[in-house]
Amino acid sequence: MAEWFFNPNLVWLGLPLLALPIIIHLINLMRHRRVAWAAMEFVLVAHKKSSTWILLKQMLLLLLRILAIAGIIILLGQFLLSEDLRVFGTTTHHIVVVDDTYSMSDKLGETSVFDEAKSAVRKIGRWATTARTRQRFSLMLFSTGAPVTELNKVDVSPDFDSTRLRAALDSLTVSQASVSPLQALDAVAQQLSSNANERRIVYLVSDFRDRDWNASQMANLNERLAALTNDTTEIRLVQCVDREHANLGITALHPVSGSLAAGVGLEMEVRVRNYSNNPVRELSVLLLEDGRPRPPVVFEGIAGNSEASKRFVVRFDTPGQHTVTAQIASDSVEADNARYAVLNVPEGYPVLIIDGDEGRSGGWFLANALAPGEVKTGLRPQIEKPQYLAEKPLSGFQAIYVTNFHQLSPAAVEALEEYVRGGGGVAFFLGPPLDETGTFAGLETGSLQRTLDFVARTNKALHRDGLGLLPAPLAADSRLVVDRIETTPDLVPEEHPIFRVFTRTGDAFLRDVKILSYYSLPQGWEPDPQSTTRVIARLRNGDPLVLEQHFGARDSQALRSAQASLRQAAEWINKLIENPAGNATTNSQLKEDAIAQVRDAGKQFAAALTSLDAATRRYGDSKPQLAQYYQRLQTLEKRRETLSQEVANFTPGQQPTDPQQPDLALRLKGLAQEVESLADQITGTEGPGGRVVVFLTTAGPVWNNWAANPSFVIAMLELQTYLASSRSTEGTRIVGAPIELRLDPQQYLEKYVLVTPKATIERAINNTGDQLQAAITDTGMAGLYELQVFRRDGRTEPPQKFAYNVQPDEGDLRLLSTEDLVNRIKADRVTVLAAGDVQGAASQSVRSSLTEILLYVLIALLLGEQILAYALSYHPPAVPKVAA
Amino acid sequence: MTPGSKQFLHPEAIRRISRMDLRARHIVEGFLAGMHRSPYFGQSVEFLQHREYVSGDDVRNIDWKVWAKQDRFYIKQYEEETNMRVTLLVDVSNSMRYGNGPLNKYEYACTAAVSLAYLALRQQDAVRCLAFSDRVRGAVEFRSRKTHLNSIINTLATNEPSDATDLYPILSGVAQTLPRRGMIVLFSDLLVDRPSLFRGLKLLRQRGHDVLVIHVLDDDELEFPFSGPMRFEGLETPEHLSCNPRALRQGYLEALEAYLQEVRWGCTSNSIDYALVRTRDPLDAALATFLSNRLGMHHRN
Repeated sequence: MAEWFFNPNLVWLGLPLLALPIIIHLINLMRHRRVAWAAMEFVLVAHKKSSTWILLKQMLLLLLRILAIAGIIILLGQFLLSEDLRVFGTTTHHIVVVDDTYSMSDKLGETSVFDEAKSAVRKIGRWATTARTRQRFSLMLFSTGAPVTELNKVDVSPDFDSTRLRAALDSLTVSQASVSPLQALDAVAQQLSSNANERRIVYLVSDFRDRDWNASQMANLNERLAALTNDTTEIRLVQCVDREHANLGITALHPVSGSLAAGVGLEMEVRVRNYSNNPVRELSVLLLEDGRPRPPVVFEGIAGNSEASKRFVVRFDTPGQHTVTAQIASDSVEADNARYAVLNVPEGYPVLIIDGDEGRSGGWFLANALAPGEVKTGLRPQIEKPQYLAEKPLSGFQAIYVTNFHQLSPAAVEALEEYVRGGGGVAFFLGPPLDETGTFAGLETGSLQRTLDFVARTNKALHRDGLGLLPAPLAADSRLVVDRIETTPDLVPEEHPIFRVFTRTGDAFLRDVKILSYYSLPQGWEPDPQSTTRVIARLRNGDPLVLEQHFGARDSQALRSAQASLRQAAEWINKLIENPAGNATTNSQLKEDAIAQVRDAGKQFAAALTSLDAATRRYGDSKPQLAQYYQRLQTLEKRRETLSQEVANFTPGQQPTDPQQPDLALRLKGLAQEVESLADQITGTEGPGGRVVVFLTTAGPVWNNWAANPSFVIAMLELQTYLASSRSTEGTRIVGAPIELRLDPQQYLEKYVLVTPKATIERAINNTGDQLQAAITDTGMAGLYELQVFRRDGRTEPPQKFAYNVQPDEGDLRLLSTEDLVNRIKADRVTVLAAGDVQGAASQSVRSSLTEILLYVLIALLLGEQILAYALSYHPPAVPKVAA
Repeated sequence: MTPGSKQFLHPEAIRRISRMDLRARHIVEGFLAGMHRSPYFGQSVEFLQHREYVSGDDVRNIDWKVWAKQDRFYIKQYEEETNMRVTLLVDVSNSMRYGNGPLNKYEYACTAAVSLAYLALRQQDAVRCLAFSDRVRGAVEFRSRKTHLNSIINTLATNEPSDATDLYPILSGVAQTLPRRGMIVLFSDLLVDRPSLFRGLKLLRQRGHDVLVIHVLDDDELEFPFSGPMRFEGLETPEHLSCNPRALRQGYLEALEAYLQEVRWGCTSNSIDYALVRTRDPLDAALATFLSNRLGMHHRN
């Protein structure tokens, strides 16, 4: 009974009322009035004539009354049976997806939003136990994107909610992950089997924040929701929070500039975001250096919905890994109140200088510039031959400088590329070729053919048609014609961190730099604006002299460019939508630009697909996610093509063909957002990539006199900072990202110990034969981690520290009202419910229609009863008044 | 009849007068007082005297012979005599006990009968009264003195409704014991065996009697206005029935209508005057029926 009704108690109470008409009937029969009657013969005749029909009508009346009371009871009890009736005989599979991202830890007095979510899940479970048909239950989490092991397609037993479900829910805690609903829906889509004889109800139990369900994302979300739902699958969005709270979050804690070394001060920046509309005053950020408090940073005020930053200097006297922690006072969400950074402070940073010249003509100058005697820079230059690149691990070096080489072997190039992909920085100084013996020949003694050979070799190995480290192909060596009248310095830097110091102090130092020779680039070569290649210094004749590019994660870089293009296209389309009656020429230009942007995005997509395909093959099974990213990117490309056609056919002021669909600009933005999300994921998997700076002239005073100029030291130190800054995020990871461990089985034992912020975990490492491999995934909590590996020879290595931080935006608690959410959802078979209404709403949509039907039936019954009762009763005619 | 006089003849008003003679007098005087003139006075009686014409007298009564002789208008007045023999038959069976209004059927019948007797005696008719059920339960013989009214009242008052009705023996007895033609007025609810009723009435008609049937029924019997569960128990029969009267009403009314039709037809076919009166009707109805019957008697005979 309880499973058929929403208010079973009311039904139990009302059930005895069914007997009421019968009892009244019997009482009436017992309480009949006795009449001594003269005209019995007529009474008897009437009775004889119609006794059967009367009995029938009386019974019918009695039945109608009983049915009417039953109808009222059913109506008040809120009948739930129809859900089972509709799919009688099939299994109902409840797939409950619980949002355990850290915004769910939002406090609600003594409890939290996550507790509300668990309570809602329990209600769903309880409801499932009371259903009459076969019920299955799966519980998934946003953070893992997979079912909880003990609750994966389990059959619901009568005590399910009090045993298995309760145990599973009790063990659940809110994670510190940040997962978008799109990812969650994708995960659900992967889990749904094609079981035709199964009715599925997917519950998305979440907090539905504005950042996740805003208008720009709704196109994609609606698309996913529509793809998930069908005749047998419906989605119920369970809103667990009805009030938004203020929240502050530390969004960044990172070094700003400079090389980090023992005894050398490092400037760091902490950023705090105010996610509420109200401003905050006098906010102290508590700072800890290696766990010891240091003077806090005080923000005088942070305006509502804005971010503020402060800088401070840290200095560690001893080399090794040091930690910096920033904390703010407790508020609604705890996870983003602290941020952690691990700084690898070396005695000095080893810097590798590759110099193939026996005379060390370039390397020596570079080494002296990076470690200029008494001044402590924390850098330890190490000059090696080109062979070193292929033979030794490079990951320990802060930066690598390559100068004077005859040829870099493929292994050396591959090692360099891997180094840069992992976030390292490489600077090339290209000068006159060396011969096979490594003897520096110089331009004067080399033949033209030798130079051309060098150019060809270098282009082949390092440029590789744009896929290599060299951002541009070399053409030939050139001389800069001396012009004594010309006042422009030979070296003209662009606006760039390396040369910013000269921009501030004027070009007095650079004025004396003389460039004699350089490698020119092909005629008319200019960097692709969509690429990361930039010219950061030119010669006075306009030829590029210093180039840079961001190498590695080229796919994610391409995607970021594509994202920018799509956003720009969306902007222009939006302008056309907002002002359709604008100037026709301007409108036409805007449309042309938008089409070009979407087309450019297509090129970037193609580049990203090529790069991702290469990465997939390069990494093989070690990074299987890349194959998934490739497929997802293909899907996005199809969407881009569709949107591209729509942009081409777009007419300002034209009514949309489907009014339910978000406008074109919003859909472009939605695609851009997804592209960005994918780029983030690819970066997380492949590594951030690093910087490559190419000087088309020598480091030493061969083709120029820069090394003899004081500005060289300054420029090289800035170059070092710039190259190393892409590695400064080393040790700053987002929670959940695995720690990839690769060890030599000859040297290390097959186990590791991980000290997390909450526990110490000891695990075995998988031995593949030639390598010990582990992907450590116990990194779900923000904080400082220490990883200890053990050497076979008994020597102890210091533990490696990692700082894990939460994704900052998850702390944005701005809420989306249920009404807005309902309005934004365009997919059918999607219901929005409050957490408190889950149980009743388990068949709400069904019940509403059933209630309506019951109401009509009840009205019909009552009308029938009245008509029958009237027909069976006596109604004396109105007595006319006697005239006075 | 003046409109205001009617209310004094209503059963509710009559009920307040406990003495039957006063009741009869009240009714008859009230009834006659309501007439604008007395068309019935002096019909079929011996000449008594002449009286000078006054305005309002019926011109038909003017003695033209006297006018011819004396050139004055005189009207002829007649002395009423006992030339009418009125037999009142009042049903005192148990079924007459029923009544839900101010007067039950028996009381109503008695009141009507006494009123008729009063009227008749006032006109010096001889009145006889029989109270009967399945037998004669009380009887007073013909007398025309006004004091005879008391005897009639006593006879009716001493009888309480009881027993069943059997009309044929009563009517045939009356027919045998009445040597002269006269008027017979039957007060009954006629809840009897119809063939025997009609046989009796026919017998009376064959003997030349002028028969008037005052069919007294209670309003409840005519309308069957009951609701709620009831148990009907026969007053003259042992039958009983528990039922919902609302459901039976239609069938009852149909059966009743058939019965009334039968009675009405039975009376009409035997040239018997028939009047159905309800116990809530004003009592002048019975008197009016009687008087019109008395006037038309000679024409019919």
